[in-house]
Amino acid sequence: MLFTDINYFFFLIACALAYACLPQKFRGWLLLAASYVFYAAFDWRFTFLLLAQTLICFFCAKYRKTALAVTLSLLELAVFKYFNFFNDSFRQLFESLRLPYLIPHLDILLPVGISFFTFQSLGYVIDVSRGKIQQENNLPRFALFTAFFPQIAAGPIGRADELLPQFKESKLPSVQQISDGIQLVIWGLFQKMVVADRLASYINRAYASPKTATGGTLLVASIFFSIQIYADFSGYSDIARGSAKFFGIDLRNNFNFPYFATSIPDFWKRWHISLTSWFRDYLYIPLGGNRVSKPKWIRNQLVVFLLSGLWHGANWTFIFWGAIHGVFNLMHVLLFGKKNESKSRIVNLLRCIVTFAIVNTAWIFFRAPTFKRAIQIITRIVTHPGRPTFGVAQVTFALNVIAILVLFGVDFAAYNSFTKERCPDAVRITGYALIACLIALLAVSSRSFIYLQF
Amino acid sequence: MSSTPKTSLIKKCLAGLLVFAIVNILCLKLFNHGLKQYYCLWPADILVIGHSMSEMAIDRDLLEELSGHSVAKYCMNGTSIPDRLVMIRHYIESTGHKPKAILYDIGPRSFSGGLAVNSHALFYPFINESPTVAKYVRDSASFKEYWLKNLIPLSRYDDSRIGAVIRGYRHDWKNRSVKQLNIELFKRQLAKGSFWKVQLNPGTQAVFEETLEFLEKEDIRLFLVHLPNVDLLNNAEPEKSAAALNYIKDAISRHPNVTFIDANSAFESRYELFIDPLHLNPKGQLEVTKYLGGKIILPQQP
Repeated sequence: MLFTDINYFFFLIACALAYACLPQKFRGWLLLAASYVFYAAFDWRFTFLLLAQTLICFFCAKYRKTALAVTLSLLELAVFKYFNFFNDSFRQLFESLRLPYLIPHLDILLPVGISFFTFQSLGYVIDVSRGKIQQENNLPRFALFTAFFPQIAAGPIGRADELLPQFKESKLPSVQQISDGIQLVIWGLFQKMVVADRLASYINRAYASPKTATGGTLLVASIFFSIQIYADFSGYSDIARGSAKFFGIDLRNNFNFPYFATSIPDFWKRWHISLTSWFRDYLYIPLGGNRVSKPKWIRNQLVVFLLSGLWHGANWTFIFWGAIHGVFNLMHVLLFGKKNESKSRIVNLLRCIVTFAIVNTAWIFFRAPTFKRAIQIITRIVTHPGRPTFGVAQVTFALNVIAILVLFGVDFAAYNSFTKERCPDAVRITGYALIACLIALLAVSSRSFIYLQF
Repeated sequence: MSSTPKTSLIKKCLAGLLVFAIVNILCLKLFNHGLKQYYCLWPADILVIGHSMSEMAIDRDLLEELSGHSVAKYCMNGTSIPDRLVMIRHYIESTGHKPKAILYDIGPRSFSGGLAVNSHALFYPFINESPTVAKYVRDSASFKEYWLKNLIPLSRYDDSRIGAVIRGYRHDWKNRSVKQLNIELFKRQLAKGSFWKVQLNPGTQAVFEETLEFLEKEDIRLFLVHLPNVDLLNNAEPEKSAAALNYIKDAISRHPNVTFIDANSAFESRYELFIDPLHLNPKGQLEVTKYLGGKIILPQQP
């Protein structure tokens, strides 16, 4: 059951109404049952994995077996997500050395959201071991924390100190939360169904056969992918946050106008914030953070970025993507220190363009199925500069451009503090109604979210 | 929740729904007007019915000039023979007028599958305008889809239809394609067997015969036009193609109101007129329309 499926909205409304009608002590049970039903809708077999992860983290935190929880959680990830990657890489290595290799490739299904719920529950165990939070003694409540349906498939990765008290309270949503929830869901659907999914066909065609595409087409496809992945993931996060608000739950914001970033470090403060902060708190700081010698600090930075790449997928392209970000992040800090924004708007605009160019190039490795294909695309962009094609139809291309302009127009207005306080109700209501009209007119049916595969 | 903010939220939601409904209704009116212009849903002597082949092969303005009769061109990408019967009935219901003649493209592949499987979606914009279309959509679409299209008018449009609306307002029926047939690529596709195959589907044949009977009963003259395909495609399955053409000729022999026009033989080897093995480019459109203009002769009104 995807967020863009109309059945999801029937499910959400039914759950929200039942939640509002039930006495407080049963609300958590309702959300827990709904979350397992939601997760089982992807594949019921994975609910056992979810349950296992829940029990591992709950009891390991209770008995302070942090190392065991980390080992078992990472083992779970290693088996389901990374086994074939390492297995195939070793096979290639052995074959290149003309040595026998006997472990076959296994067809392992990747459970939806495994990286998200594993990290979220692991964060809880580490927080308990550090004494940052009290252990949760209520198993159903902890199970809800791990499985809460708006965030289970693709985050945002929540923190126990933020979420567990909210689940304990199980309060009804405020009027403001309902209002914000509706707005977030509408905006999320626009980002996903009107921007991300419309761009997909142009991108898929160009990336599938770069040899037949001009450099211009590939460049446009790469820029479209930068926009697609943002709209896809930010759209998902907004629908997740909006859905949670109908149950009085506030999830953390995952994006803060990432393409308005003026440097790579700035980009990482704005992109997938819940994951970045997870790596900072549970990996970078324990490694010593920046309070170590320069060589160790460089090592810490690179480790975080490489693992961040690997977290996204079991492929060398993701690791290289992480490495590009790691290197440019280091270069920026070494050359310019922590200084980010300039007082000059033109300088900031130029920085913004340069940052986008780096991020865009890195996304080519992220999107391409193989390292070779990514290099082929970049080479063609540079060596075969030709006019971009419009794809299937000129009108589709034009509508895609309009959708992108609406996305960044709204983002730009919000970025420049055209916030609720300054936006009259009439304008906001009309704006959201018009966005809903654009969804009705321009939405294309989608089958997945990019980040569900992670 | 105190009652005041709750009431305020309900009012805001209702206001949003009202704006949404008003914009939907206004846009539907605006879009449907443009779409009717593009599909020429107005009274005309000659009605051109077909899919993308007719859309790209027949120049409405030129045909009007050459034939001396008003021409309406109602062609949609991916419409099969059952869709076209719906289109004819929709045209008559929508305009309240029976054309004197219908130009209908036909060929060996007209009875095959391979066109859009969900072609009922092409009729969504007219869901409330014609009983025939309403029934067709209700029978073909899923329950969820049908009600969604009914409740949210803007969801009835897709990119192709939005493009048609724009062209309708611009009165632009010309073939604007800039592509050119890549014959070497097509030869490779033929060698791999990757081309649209000839099949005689009994269900489609039955609807074709129903169409012939309907037009005879309504006293509408029918010009069945075999539009050009590239000869390599025509010769890919010679026996099946001959069988399909024989079936067509046999079926129409029972109907005195039908004339068969072979526009294929004269152009099938002129690759410079095609964008792909099935569709003509603007130059091809011009030549084929000129050819048809000389063949379509209607009896003069007394």
